[in-house]
Amino acid sequence: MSALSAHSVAVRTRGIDMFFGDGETKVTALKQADFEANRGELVMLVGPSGCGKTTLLSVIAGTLTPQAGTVEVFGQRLDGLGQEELTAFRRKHLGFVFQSFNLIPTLSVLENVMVPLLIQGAAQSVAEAKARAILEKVGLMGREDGRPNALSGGQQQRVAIARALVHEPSLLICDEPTSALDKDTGAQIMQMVRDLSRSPDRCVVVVTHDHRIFRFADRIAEMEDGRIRRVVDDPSQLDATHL
Amino acid sequence: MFKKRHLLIALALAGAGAALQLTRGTASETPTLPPAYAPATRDKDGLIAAAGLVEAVAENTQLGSPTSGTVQKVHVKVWDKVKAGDPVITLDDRDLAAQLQVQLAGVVAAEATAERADDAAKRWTGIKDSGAVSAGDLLAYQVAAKEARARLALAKAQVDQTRVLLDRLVLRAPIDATVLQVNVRVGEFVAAGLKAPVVLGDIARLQIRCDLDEQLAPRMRAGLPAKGYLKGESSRVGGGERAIPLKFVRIEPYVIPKVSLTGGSAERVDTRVLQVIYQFDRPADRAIFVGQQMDVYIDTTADAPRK
Amino acid sequence: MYRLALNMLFGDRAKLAMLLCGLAFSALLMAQQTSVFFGIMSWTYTPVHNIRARIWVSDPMVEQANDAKPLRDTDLYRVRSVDGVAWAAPLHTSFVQARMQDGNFKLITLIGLDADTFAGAPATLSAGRIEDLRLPNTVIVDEWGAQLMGRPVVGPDGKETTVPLKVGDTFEVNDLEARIVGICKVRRAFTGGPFVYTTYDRTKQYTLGARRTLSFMLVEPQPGVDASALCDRIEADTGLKAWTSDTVIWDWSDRSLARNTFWWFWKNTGIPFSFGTAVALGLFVGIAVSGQTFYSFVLENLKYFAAIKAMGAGMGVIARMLLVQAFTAGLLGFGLGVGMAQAIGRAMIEKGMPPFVMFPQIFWATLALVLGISLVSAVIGIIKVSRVDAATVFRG
Repeated sequence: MSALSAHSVAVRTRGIDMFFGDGETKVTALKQADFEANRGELVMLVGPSGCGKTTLLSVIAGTLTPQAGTVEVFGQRLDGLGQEELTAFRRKHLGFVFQSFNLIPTLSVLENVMVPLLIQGAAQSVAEAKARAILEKVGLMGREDGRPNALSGGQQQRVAIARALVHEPSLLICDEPTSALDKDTGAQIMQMVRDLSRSPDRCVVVVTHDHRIFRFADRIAEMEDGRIRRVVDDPSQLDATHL
Repeated sequence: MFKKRHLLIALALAGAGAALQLTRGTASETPTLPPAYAPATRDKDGLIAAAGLVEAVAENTQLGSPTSGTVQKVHVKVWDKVKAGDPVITLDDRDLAAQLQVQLAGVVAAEATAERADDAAKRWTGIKDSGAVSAGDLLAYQVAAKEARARLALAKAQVDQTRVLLDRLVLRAPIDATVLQVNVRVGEFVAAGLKAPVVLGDIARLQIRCDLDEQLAPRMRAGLPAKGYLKGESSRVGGGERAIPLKFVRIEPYVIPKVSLTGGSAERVDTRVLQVIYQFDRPADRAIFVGQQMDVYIDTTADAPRK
Repeated sequence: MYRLALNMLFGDRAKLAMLLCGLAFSALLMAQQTSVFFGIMSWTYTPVHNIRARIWVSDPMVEQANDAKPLRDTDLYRVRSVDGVAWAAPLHTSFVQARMQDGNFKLITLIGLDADTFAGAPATLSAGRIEDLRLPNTVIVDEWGAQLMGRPVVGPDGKETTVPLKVGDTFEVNDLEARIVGICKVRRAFTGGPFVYTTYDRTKQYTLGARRTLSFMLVEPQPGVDASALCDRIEADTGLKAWTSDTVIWDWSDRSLARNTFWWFWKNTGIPFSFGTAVALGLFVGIAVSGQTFYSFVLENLKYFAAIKAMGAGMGVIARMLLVQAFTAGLLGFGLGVGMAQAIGRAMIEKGMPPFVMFPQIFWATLALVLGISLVSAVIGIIKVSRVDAATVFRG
């Protein structure tokens, strides 16, 4: 973490252009998208389908390289990095929570949580100890030897959160974390994400449609047609019908 | 921790191991075992091989009959030892015997006639001066006596002839030998000059007649030593030495066609062979018979003693 | 990570079972089919197997072991006159008709052995003694022949069964009696019917007045004399053809009678083609089945590999994980498959039908093919994963 700057801005994008294909089939996903998130913040990206929020998330996560603009995560410029450097960056500093959990069904809960550590090259025993510790935090001790499919949706997402945080990433990327969950479970999950990520060394970016969880956000960036339309501090300021 | 997967791995390993072991079994060659009976084995270079046949030294005498006739008596059995002159077979002599009686009677008659004519001649010769007889009559008496003596001599000669003919009906051994084959029985008819009724041979000393393929003939020299292995005498593997040392006798000067014996009606010439004769001392510890086959190895590396 | 890769592989029992079944089935198919094929082909040089000798000598025009061109009797002595030869024994082989007691005719392979030494005699007699061949009009038949020439008997239930020939039974060859004094265990032949052994001298009577009965000569080199070198010398000295009796058909040197026989049948008959098509089909099906199952396994896991990739695993790590999975599955499938193949093979060998010869080459080739299939599937999987945009993990 020492390699990253101590600047209060955790994520900053400037003038991101992103399009897919070319000619007549050219689809513009992002147009001069500027986005910022600070350390210790939980920022939500909201907007209608196709507004480019997933693309922006991918750019921030270093899985897509934009055609134009700059991306800075904890002081590290991601644009201009090669695939391998991006991969290494993701490995070290990013945690992911996916919409469909993406837990590997043939591995046990514990093994799923160990994956990021093992990718980093941690020893088996170290990885196991850390994974157990974080599973305890998400309240799944005792289920670690079971298969993810034997768990409820909320429990699975908790496993996913444990996996995303086990290697203590700086930036936690959540893609529709509650879309597969009911209201109460979704709220529990978001509470957990917020609790676990409240740290000046961490930043959480959540992409969601789910207005029921807007209240967990410190700030909400509303997107439209590939750019940030506005950023609000309070969900009530959003035009709910618009979503 | 034992898991089901370990069972799987063990199963796979066992399968592969068993298969590998089977490949060893199926791919390995059947070992070549030595034959049940030890063959005549060469132990050095420079040997040439030949097919040998055991025969009697004097070669076998196919005793033939000079006359045709019915067998009256067989004097010998196989294995009998005969001396030269011993009778072997007697043919039917009744006609000659009858003739002899007649001829003997003729001799007596001729003797009587001759005696009478002699007597008359003597008598008239003693009184020729008396004039009781004419000179011409006297000469006639003397001629008659001479004629009668001649008739007697003829009759005697005829008896002798018949006796010789009778003797010829008795087949005698021409040499000291052993009877090897007797091919006739009493009462059988023997034709002159056809298949020998009796085979004699001197089997006290045996020799080997070796057939050497003509392609090997150039390597043969007079005086080379050889070893012989009797056929049918191969002992169990590990048995003792059975080679018989052979002494060179001669090379037959004429290369003959080897006859391939098919047992059929026509025997055909197969190849030509050089025949080489070897001799051996009859081993004390085993029986060897005339007509046995022998595998012969001739040692061309040895120095042939110059004669 | 490799442990995780293995856990991923072993985690889904149903999928693993399908994958291993596919791989094992193809390994079984490949190993078993080729083994039976080479088993049948190995029958072509059965004489070399059944009549054991270090060197065979034949007429120079002979091309393979089932092809007997008569030699002159004196050729035996010419061979015996070659330096380096320890001994040489005559051998007769021919295909003749045997007349059964029920009037049926059967083709047999008549083998005439040197009565003096019994060189080339069958190694195993299940009944009788080899020495009894010295008795008049006697033969030894193989077990297959005893069964084939056996007497059909209608049992009390109306079913027809065959009572195999046994010691003391007789049949006729060329109007001559052949009395069985032994039953031997030898390999079946591709041509010519069962093996019937008699003495060399008697074959003249059993073959219709054939003038020459010397088909081959069995030769033993002197100790320390190389068989192949001796073959050269025999050929140079006598103008005959000399062969070694090893049954390794893979070597390309031209001395081995078995090898020449094998390839003669390969080139001059339709057997390799007709049987070979079946084998090739088996191979093809095997490759297709195992390739398909492994590929679908990779496809099903593609999503998770994409997630792992998004989480920061490099392609090197993912490639190795896939290779570990592929080779583990390949090796396990191979082991199970050849395990089944060898079990079937052992049963076949026990029965003697159909022939089954699993050369080590078949084992290793099957292993190579299965691993090759796994490797190709893994490489396709690796390419698939490398093409997957890590960003796709954010979409449902």
